[in-house]
Amino acid sequence: MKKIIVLFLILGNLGVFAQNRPLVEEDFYRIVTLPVPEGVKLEVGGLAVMPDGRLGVSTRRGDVYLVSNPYMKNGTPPTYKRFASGLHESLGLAYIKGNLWATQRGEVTILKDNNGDEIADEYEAFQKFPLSGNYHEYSYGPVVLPDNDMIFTLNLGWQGKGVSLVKWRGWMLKVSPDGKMTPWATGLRSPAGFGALRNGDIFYTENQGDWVGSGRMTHLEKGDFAGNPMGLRWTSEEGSPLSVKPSDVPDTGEPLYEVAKRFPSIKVPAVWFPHTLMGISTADVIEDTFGGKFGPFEGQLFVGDQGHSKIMRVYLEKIAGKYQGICFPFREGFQSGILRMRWGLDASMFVGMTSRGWSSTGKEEFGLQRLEWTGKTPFEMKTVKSMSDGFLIEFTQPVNKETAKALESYKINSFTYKYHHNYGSPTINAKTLKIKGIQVAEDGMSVRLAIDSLRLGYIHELRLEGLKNTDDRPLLHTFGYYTLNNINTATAPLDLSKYAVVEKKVETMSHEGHNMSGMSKGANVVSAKRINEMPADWGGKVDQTLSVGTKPGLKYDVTKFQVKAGTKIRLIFNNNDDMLHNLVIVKPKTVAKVGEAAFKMDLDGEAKAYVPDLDEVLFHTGLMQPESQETIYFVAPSTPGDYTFVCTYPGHYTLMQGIIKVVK
Amino acid sequence: MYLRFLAFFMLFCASFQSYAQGFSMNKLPLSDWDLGNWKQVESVDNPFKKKASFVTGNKFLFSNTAGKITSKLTTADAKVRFAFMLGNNSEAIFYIQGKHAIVLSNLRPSGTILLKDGGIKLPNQNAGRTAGLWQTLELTFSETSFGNAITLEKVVLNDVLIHQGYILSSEGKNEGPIVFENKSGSIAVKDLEYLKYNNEKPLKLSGLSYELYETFDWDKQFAKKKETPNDTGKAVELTKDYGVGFNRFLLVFKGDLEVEKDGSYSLIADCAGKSALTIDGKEVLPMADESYRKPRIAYLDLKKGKHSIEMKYIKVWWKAELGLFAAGPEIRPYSLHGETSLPTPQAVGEIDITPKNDVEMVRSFVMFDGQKRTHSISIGSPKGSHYTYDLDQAALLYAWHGEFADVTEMFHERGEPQLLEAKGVKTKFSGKPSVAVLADANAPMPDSLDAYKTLIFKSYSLDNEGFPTYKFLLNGTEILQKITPNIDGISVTTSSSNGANLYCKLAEGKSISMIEKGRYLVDNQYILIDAKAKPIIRNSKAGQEIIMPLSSAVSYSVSW
Repeated sequence: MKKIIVLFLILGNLGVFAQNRPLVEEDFYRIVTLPVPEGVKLEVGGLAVMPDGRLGVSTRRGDVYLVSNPYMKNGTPPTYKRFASGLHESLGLAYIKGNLWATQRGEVTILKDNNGDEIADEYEAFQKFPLSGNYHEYSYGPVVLPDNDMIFTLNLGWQGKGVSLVKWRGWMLKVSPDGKMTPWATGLRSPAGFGALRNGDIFYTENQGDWVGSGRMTHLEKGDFAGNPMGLRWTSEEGSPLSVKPSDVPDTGEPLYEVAKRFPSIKVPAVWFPHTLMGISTADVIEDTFGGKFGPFEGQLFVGDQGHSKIMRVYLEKIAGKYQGICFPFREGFQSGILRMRWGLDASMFVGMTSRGWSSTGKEEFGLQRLEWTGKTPFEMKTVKSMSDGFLIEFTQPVNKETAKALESYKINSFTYKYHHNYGSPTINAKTLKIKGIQVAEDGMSVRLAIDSLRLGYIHELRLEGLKNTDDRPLLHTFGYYTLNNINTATAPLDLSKYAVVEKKVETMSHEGHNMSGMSKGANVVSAKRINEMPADWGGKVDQTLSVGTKPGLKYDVTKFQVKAGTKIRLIFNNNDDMLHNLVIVKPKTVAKVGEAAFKMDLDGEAKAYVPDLDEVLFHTGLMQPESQETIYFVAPSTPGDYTFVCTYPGHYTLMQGIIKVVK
Repeated sequence: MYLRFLAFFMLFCASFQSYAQGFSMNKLPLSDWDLGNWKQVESVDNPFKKKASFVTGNKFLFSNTAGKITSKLTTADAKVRFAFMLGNNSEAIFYIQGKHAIVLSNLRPSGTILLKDGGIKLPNQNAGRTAGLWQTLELTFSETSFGNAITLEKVVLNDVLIHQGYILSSEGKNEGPIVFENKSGSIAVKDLEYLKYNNEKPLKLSGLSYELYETFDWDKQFAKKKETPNDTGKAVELTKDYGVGFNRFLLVFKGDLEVEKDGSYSLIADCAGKSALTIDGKEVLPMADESYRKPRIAYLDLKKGKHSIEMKYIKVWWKAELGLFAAGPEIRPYSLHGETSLPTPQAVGEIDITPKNDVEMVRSFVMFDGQKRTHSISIGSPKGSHYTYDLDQAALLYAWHGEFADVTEMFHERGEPQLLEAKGVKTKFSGKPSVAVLADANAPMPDSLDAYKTLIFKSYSLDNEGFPTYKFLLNGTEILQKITPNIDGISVTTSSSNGANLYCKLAEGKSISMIEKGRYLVDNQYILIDAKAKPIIRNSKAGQEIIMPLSSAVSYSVSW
């Protein structure tokens, strides 16, 4: 009897706790892990949901598994049966008219089981792709369109830069069920993720790289050129829907949108996913067609990110006949690098993962998980729509009107990227925008913002830190990035005589004229914890020099140093990677705190080299451009211990660490 | 970043030892043997020939009765290589230092080591070839540091590594002759070559000085930041450590290479970054692109005395690692650099595929005559015979016995080479289309066919055991090709229901000879055809080939 009372007490306490604690993603969307049998390397390349409740999984090792009971509804684990094997790195799988279709590097193969023993006994070549023998020539698909045609994409090869060594590398191809192939669009670099909306419109996601400043999503219509010129090599081949040549493409480093004005063959992306602020390597894209069964985002798109092991959400609208929209964070914390996402029969989402060769935040080498809606509605920006003078933000729940009317609840920045042959781009031309007016809807479900200086082609960061709902809870995700290619001029401007905001001079002044490209060099970050010249009183001598470089996959090349307490140290950090990195030395066991704090700095972070203002931070470098180096000088701490050095660039800190062991 | 990764990988492909093997070996003349009851011969018949015999002469050694042959040469620490051919049901024993016995046999695995206590040490796998085919065995052995034993550093049979680092206990002096003992059947031995290693270090560095320059990065080709060195001085040894304090630097070492006696030598630069080597003012290793630990070797004939040496080393993005080795034909590589200048690189564990109960299939790239075949399939059979086939050309590339496949280069990290390597004892084919439409039986077979227009791969179907039958359309005519591995080798059946002027290529080689009806020796492999069939043996661009018209079906098998 006593025990029962104790139990009640505990439950009671839990109830109180549950109401007061901050709500997190997991409260709304639950990740369920499918166990994988020992010995099975389920490096997911393709997923195919079968109408009989099974799930087909193709892997980078070339196997195809049939997974029974993948929904685990009865609480028992799924079972795996190897259905096919020996495919060459199969990165796409679909279930079409009773058969599984797998795409391998050089072939689309129909896998047939003629004797019903659940093992494929016929491998039929449906379509062959030429290959040069370069490892980076990946092939993806099929995605079936509403008219039963199929689309495939072909990755560029890599020889120090993207290259199209054989025909149709860097292209999307459309193939009819009887095998007739039509080159559809090019300008693709690493098109691992693509899909079609219910209406048949095709979108693909692109990874940051050469000619690609940041991850992005582009609507591909026939004959489109999405930006990487390598595939244009084949435009004089029979069937090419466009005739632009690689040498026609301007390489000026201006924003892509600006170049596209002069050179209209370039298709501008519908949505940019700002590098590291959203993700670092975009993957699959799928549309929510479940009419509310997967939560309040019907008709929206979900986009995976391999490196950050997370899923982003995209709301698209069509302005002037062209797609554009906004991306938000949605759900993070997956076990490995996300490549594939497919809807299950029950409106849950299968997520297939691999991180071999490309490290991810999720530490597992591979994995298969399912994402399901818990039935609770998160407080989110549901949509953001372009208005003639700003944006209309719709919410999933009514807002607290006081917070919604307050100017301090909002921060709007805009920026863009360079379009050039280099790998990636810094953010450029960043600007903080002034909010002129705020109108909160009567029902509290939307807010209308009038904004100064909207810029076409720019990414507009909307940050709603202070906004609360009527339960006084903040947004689950407080920011999103709207790609403004067109302004919806059809809407009436906000009546500023009624809704103008009172300007707070100090606020706006301090942000005026921010230039992100200048800041990103890191040289501007002045800090007592960053000494680049040897202190005069050292008498020109250091006791020890530490040299650190980087290795591919978010790693320092040295992960352990030993120094004597109190000695004079010179540390040379050489960022020989192709990404931005810093090096921050923190007190023992504080790396998570510092890393988290750096992550939350968001767009302002770059100006501060992503070094949070915390006592735990002892010394640091600036934010280093690729192929640059910096020397810092410091006196080793007097207390022995393991001091972590870490890159606090968002998304890096869990992987990119080392230890400076201070000894007596 | 990707290129750097590739360089990491290359390390495991180019093992350092292999660079020390470029010297030609000493040939042991036939006169340097105590023949015993062995014979010097001009030629021997293939054992499958009826009434196989031999012709005496002076080309190689042969025995068809039990007995020993002993070399006058004695070795202690050496590399020995030879070719041998066994008759049917034959076994011989090869001894190093006159006492350590290794079996050459087609009754049990060749390469089996017979231990003194009567036990045996089997090879990693049976890498022997079948009777009547020439085989090669290469052994490297040395005295152990702890005495009373020798180390079999490496034993390679028919290019397959079968023993490695195996220690054999031994009493008395670790030196003795090479001996072959015929136990049963017949054996021929030829081309015995050897290197006797010694511990001399006839090359050394002296009078070294260094200049240290800070350099720019990759974008400026690692050029010096200024012409005057940041630091100079006498160098106690050749070491990366003179660069400490800089993240990008060039070290230039100058000094003397002292040579104790005239001879052939090699200098091996093993660095992470870029390096160049100049001897007597001549650049023997030019400054190459940056790479991670890909040893480069320069072969030199050097006279006794002092030679000027200059070594340049540029540190790039990897940690500084600088090594220079000297070697000679009979001198193992030894370091000229300081002890801490060159750490051991991190190696990668092998990823294998082994067919246990089921047939394994692997689509991959496969290297063939220096080119990647991009649409290849390899079939691994639990029966122990395997093959690689080019789906673009309907062409066999390789077949092998023993272990199936090493796929490390496909599945380690990104798997940048994407290459499958055969693990066992291999035979190679022409790699040319096995089927073609010819105007007549005199028209040449094509070297390749257009895989998108002429010869179109359609599918493969698996039989109950899991072996595929390949289907092609050749100019619109359906062709089926079934390849079945079995214990002896592989069998190939090509069939077509209709189609005029269809021909099959069964084999191609430098030379083809008929051993007996139905058995053909094509270079070093056997092609077996129904004795009643009438294959056409004719000259081809590459030498000779066997073709047959394909009216309904053509079958043959291969053994090696």
